[in-house]
Amino acid sequence: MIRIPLYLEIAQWALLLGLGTLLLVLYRQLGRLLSTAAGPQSPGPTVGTKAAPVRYAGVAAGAPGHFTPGNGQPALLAFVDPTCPSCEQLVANLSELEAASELSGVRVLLLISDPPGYLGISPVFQATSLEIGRPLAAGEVSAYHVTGTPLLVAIDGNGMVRAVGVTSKLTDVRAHAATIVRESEAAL
Amino acid sequence: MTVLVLAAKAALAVLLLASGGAKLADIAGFAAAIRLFVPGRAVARLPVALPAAAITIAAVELIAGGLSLCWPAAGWMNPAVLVLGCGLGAVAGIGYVKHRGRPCHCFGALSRRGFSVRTLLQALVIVAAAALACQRVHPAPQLGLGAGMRVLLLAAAGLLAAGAATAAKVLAKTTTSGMVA
Repeated sequence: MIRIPLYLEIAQWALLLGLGTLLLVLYRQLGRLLSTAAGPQSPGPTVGTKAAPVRYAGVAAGAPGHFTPGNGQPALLAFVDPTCPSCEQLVANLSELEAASELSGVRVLLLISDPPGYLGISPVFQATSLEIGRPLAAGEVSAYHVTGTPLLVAIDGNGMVRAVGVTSKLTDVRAHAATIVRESEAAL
Repeated sequence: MTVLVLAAKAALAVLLLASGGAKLADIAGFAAAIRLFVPGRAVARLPVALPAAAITIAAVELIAGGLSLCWPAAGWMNPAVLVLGCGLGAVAGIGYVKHRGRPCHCFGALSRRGFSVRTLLQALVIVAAAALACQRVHPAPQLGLGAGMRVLLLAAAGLLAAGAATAAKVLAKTTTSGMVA
């Protein structure tokens, strides 16, 4: 009869429990994602609805700012945080498009939830010339259903939400910007 | 007592394997978490060092987990795992005090939790388990594994780490990682 060392028996159980836990974590996280995507509270505001105004504290100047949708200027609102790598990618892409004048006429506003002190840990956030603000209260952006970052919301000149994306891709940013510029031009 | 010591040793090894595998699958996220503990000025000067540090930490966890699981009789591994556990405890403590709520990426994209009382308690449990695993086991033959058994354990360890990495990669692609406004 083969004698199995006690350690091997215990290690087998530990491995089995480890794999089981891994499966549970994966299913739970995927389940949350699927229910979020299918539910009424999907990330971002509903496309075709009126965008809500946002009051924020300007990070660079320290002065309070106000985003008012529907003043004739299309806008890209990016809900981002310096502690999130995907957000840095989005900010880098927005900065690149801004530098290439592909966002001329579009107001770009980066809204962060991290305290402004965290901007120092991100070279991308430090280098960008885009406007950065922090909502004065969480309620200010509740209408935008921000369940995570990065979230990009494209608003046309009439203040209507035209595109929403949990994305950091350059192609998506370009497409969102083109949509609101086109809608705004058509409205004129 | 022997069973408890061996269980702590095996559980810690499995934990290290899962954690290392998951971190390797989301290096950018883990590097962002490391950045929280680096002075702001240094971050801009070390664009390559941070991902390198992230890869190194994940690799160390994988190697420590694999060695601890497959060579249980190697007594020097126990203090090494205890040092890793203490490091984790220190990070959890500093993170709780200075960066509460920020994503810790302790298990890569497998967990979206930020630094909290819960992560602090988990770290303390890990340190306690690592200290328990340092106890000497009598009789020593309980730890005696043949070459075949080691190969099988190593394969299982690799499978677990690969499973954690795959799951973390899937979740990293489909989840958002920042704070909720």
